[in-house]
Amino acid sequence: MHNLGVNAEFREEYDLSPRRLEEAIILGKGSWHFAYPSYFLWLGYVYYLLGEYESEMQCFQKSYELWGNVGSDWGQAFPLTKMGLAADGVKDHTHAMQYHQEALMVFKKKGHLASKAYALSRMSISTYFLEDFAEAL
Amino acid sequence: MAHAIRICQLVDGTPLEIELVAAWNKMLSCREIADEFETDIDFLVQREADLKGLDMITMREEIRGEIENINAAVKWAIVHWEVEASRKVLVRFFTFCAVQGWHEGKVTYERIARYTKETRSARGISSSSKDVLYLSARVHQAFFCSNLGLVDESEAISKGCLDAQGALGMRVERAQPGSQR
Repeated sequence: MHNLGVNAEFREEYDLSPRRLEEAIILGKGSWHFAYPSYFLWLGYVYYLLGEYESEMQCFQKSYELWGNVGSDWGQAFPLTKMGLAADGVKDHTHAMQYHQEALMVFKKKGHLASKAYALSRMSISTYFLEDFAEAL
Repeated sequence: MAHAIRICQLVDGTPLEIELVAAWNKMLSCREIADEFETDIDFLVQREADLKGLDMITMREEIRGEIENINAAVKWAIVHWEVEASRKVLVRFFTFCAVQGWHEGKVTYERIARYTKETRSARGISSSSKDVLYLSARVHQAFFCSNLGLVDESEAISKGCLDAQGALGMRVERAQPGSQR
């Protein structure tokens, strides 16, 4: 169900995707599977694309909390970058940079290159909106 | 003889690998070599908690160093129809693959699903628990397909799994690629 929700999101089926992801979240409640917190990430991202920023942020905060529960600061860094995206969405680029910086610090500490690149790509967007083009580049 | 056959099955009858295992046989009995594979499964399970957070990179490298043995152990568990061991590995391997890379995750679960299907066919097993193992592997595979943007592939696998899991009464498995505590 989670996979189908994500696929619907990729296909821009924004009516179907949140329904599937919400069902996946309900069915998977109480799960200790490492993937479960990411269900909230994807649902939050659909809300972002729909412009529902309050619901979006609630999902990211829930994802952050769940990853904290399984002891993964690496996992927590992903909702942080998404919170940065949310802040960018409401043009609060300074806060966005703070979220991204926090995530980047975790990724650097872990030495995980792919996720470090992920955070940097998000930061380049915030920096662009702050009109620091050289830094964005 | 039974343990020697187990080992040959584990290495797919590959001559080079049989030669390598034969070299171990100077120090270990066939049974001990087969048992090593079981130990490799435990190795993965025990390190999952560290992989999730506190010491991710060290653990990732440690698992990478053991990956060939772990892959062999997974195959052993499936070929010998060790359901609980296989289920443990299916779920725990996810954490490693999530950290290691999505493409590796897709390939790994694709391979596990194939082993499971081949074993079922070879053994004539048609129990629902066997299906659970296969479906779990496929759902994990589809998870990584989604993340890789292979939407059509993920969709086809996921829909097939959802129907099959529903038929087996697997409410929770429909929602996630793992099991409940």
